[in-house]
Amino acid sequence: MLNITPAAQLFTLRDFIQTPEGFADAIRRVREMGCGTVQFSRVGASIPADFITEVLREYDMKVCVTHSPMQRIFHDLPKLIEEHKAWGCPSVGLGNLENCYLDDGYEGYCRFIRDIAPVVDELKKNGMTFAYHSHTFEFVEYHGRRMYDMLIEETDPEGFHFIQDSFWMKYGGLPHEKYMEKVAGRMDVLHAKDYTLQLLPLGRFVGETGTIGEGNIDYPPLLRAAARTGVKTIAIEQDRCCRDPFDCLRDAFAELKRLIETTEEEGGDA
Amino acid sequence: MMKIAAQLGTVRAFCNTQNELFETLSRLKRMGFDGVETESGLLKNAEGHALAEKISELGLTVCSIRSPFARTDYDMDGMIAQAKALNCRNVGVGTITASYFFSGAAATEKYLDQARGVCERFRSEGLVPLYSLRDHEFMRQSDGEWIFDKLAGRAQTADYQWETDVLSLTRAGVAPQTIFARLAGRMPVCRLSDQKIRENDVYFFYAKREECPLGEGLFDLPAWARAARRAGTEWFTVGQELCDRDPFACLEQSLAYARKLCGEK
Repeated sequence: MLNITPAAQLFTLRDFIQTPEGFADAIRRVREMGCGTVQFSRVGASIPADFITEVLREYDMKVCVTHSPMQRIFHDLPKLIEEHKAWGCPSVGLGNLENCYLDDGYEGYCRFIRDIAPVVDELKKNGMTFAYHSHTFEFVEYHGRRMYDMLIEETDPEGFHFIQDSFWMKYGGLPHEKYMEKVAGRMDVLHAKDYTLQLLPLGRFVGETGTIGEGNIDYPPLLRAAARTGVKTIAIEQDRCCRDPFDCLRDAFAELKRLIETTEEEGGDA
Repeated sequence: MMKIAAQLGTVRAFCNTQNELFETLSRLKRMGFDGVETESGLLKNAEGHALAEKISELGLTVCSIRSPFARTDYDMDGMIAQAKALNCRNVGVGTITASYFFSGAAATEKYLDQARGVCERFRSEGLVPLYSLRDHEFMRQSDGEWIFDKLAGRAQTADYQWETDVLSLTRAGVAPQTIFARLAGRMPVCRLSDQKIRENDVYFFYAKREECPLGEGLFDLPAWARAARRAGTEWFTVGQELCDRDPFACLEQSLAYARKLCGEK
């Protein structure tokens, strides 16, 4: 058994967490699945932070990281830090590098690295980290260098952390275990979903996000690499669900929990 | 020394006449390729005997000739004659097609039964039926299995040898080295390619992926090549469906990288 906590990324349930009542109900239902840790993402902006704190307390729910809006990270950081502290969440995450950087290619990545540095410093002063969630586009090369490698090499290793994603690494055909090694000690949370093949109407098969256990990702090697490189939490994030997202999350959580419990660390018997 | 072939489809735009095809084959030989892997359709513009003579004169090997599975039904004799004329042992039988794929277990059994007949005929002719493994074989069926599980594990297709393709396996979301290990001893041909992320082209988080010469992209080709060699692969074939520059230049670059992968200059 690996020492990793399975968790729910609330992005999976984004349609259900836009009101205080919906949020509270979603947290209750996630708790009933046996899941005690969530990641926040796309939580309704109008839900008061204090209300969220109360719900977390009521259901004894931990928050491992957030995906916070980029505008708030840059322009409302003190309040964001205060909220994270109230929720007991140690890391402010960015879910997606936005077009104001992406559209500038290499220059955009350089500018992002410069702009995020003071944010990382401020988070460190508060005992927190910044976490960058990657897709696949960061693996584009400019001047013979992958931009993801530049993010690893030109940011503060103590304060700039990463959230890798099992699907997006597969989508790029990347060696995920090797990229886990590259960010060893800088990735507390890993995103997990499955990779399922779907047939499009024009006769092309494409990889789509799926429920863990129903697709093609071979998880035990990934889980062992995660344990070896210091991942503490694996958050289930399913972007698109073919059935009720709560059902997908419940099935994926049960399967991920089983995989964590039955996978041995390197050198183990299983 | 590992043998490396060009996927002739990469330069299909230069195979439209017999003269063009012969010049293309000559060019590939001059680049240093040991052989070519081809679809039967790309050879149709050349007269059979002249083509056989040209290939022999160049000292190239045809490592596989691929036809759609349907051809085994209406032109098995032609497939066999063509393979023998070109001294090609591996005769590609395509992939399982939609008519067998979407009609449930009974259709799969029908395919397996037909495949058994194909295997028997090829064996009697001293030829090897080569299955082109792509991505759709890894779509989960209602029983949770892949079609690949049935194709690789059933007695009817025990004589199948396999042509694997790292781009297709990657697009299927499976780990190539895991599939290679399952096909150990049955995988004479492995198609190598690479993939990179296109600049400034992201829609709803999805980056555009494009093929590129070996070594320019994101694939862990050293690990996959090692796994393929462990599985007994005899031929690496290199090529691209689409090229963003001169396809011959892409092939030449891929050949050089493949030689390095094999520990050769």
